[in-house]
Amino acid sequence: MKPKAILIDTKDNVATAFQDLKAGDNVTVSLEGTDVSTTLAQDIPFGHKFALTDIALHEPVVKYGEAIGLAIEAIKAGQHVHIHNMESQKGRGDK
Amino acid sequence: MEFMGYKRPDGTVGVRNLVALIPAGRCANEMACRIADEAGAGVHPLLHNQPCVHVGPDNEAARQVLTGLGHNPNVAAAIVLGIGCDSISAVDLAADIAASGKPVEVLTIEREGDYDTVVSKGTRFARQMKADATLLQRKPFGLEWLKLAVKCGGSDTTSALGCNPVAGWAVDRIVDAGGAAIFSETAELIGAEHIVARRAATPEVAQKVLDAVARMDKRISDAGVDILGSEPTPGNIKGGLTSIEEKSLGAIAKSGSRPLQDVLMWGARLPGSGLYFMDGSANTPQMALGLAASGAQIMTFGYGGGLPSRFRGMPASSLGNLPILPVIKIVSSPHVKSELDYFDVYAGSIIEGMESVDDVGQRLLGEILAVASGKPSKVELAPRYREVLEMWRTGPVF
Repeated sequence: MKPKAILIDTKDNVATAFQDLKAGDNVTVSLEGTDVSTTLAQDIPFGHKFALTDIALHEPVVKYGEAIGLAIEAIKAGQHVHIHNMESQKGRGDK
Repeated sequence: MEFMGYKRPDGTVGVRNLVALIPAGRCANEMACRIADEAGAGVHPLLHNQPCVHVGPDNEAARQVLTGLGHNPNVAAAIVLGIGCDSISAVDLAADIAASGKPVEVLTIEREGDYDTVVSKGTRFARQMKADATLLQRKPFGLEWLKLAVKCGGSDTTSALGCNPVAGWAVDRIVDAGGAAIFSETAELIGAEHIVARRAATPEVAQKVLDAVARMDKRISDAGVDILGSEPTPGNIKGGLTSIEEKSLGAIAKSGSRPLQDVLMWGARLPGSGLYFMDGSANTPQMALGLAASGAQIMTFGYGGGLPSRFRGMPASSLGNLPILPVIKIVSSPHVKSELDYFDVYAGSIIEGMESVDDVGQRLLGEILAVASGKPSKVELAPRYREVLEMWRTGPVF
């Protein structure tokens, strides 16, 4: 069956949508016997990420068990995580 | 598992059997096109943009690349073309390529006296080489004779779960059998370099990985830019990739899981079996040129579902002009099912929960062996057009 979303590593605080998901959808991702459920605060397009937990300002966004950037504002569980609210820490010749 | 290939005099095995026209510099591109038009199918002009206003390491790298193209096992014979005032000597280049034991000719305007003589003699040589190449027979070879290049593009978040682990699965099988595999794109190690370094065969190789990324990072700092919008690209961002770290962590899945034997400079030849990384550009025409020069016989190109997956040939389609490196296209997103006639392997079944990475990996390996045995890949069946290959340049231009 086609999953709605996927959690890749147990350390991750974001999941990736495998379908176009709608605000208000309740999404459960499972990994190694643990289920994490989130109610989406926003529409999440296929392939995009949403927060599984609240992520505080300047806290790392974790996917594949690795930091993929820092939150540039407080992110609530269920919110879309993308270039509007997280920032890369690498390749930043501008900083 | 076997494929049917052509044994070359230097002991390598080709999966194609082409006559290559290799300009020593871009000024000879025109003559290469004329000769290819006259000599017809099977004779390929490897057009490129090497000028005579590059210096030092850029000229050395270009010479290494052009020599590597001639040595590539898919080349049966080569004609090196020059003006006579090229920054890379056509005569020296031909001598380097002839060390492979393959038939090689060299023609320059300076030596022949004029353009028309180069074209007429070149056409005669090319026709003869093409005829001679048809007498070579394919013979069976095991996986240990394969040298696979892996690349991803049009990436989105499905790439990390579909095409890239599938390519990595095939890389592991080929490496385990005693073959070789190579990946590149230094900018796409940024944020994942520590993971690749952990897989290095020795501490020295681990340091080379970190040094390559540090050099790339310094170039970004020196330019004073944020690479967002370049890495990840605008298309990657549409597909849900937010940072270079996220892109890199997905991209390295295509390198499989085996130890990394060494880091090669751009365009260097594969020195042996196992897995290698080439320190080079993530720009497709430059990256593919470096990998073709490494001696790889086939490249897999894994796509997400981004707009580049709607191309019928290849994005940055100089690969259409690189017939010496046949490309197998894999696609990861179920959203591009309408395009499947233009892909060799569908990995979206993993995203749909219908197949495992093992299942699709098996299909990919089967396709690699089929294409290695002469089956044209989808890119090879697409209409070809001539585009100029690009040298990766890190120094100044005058």
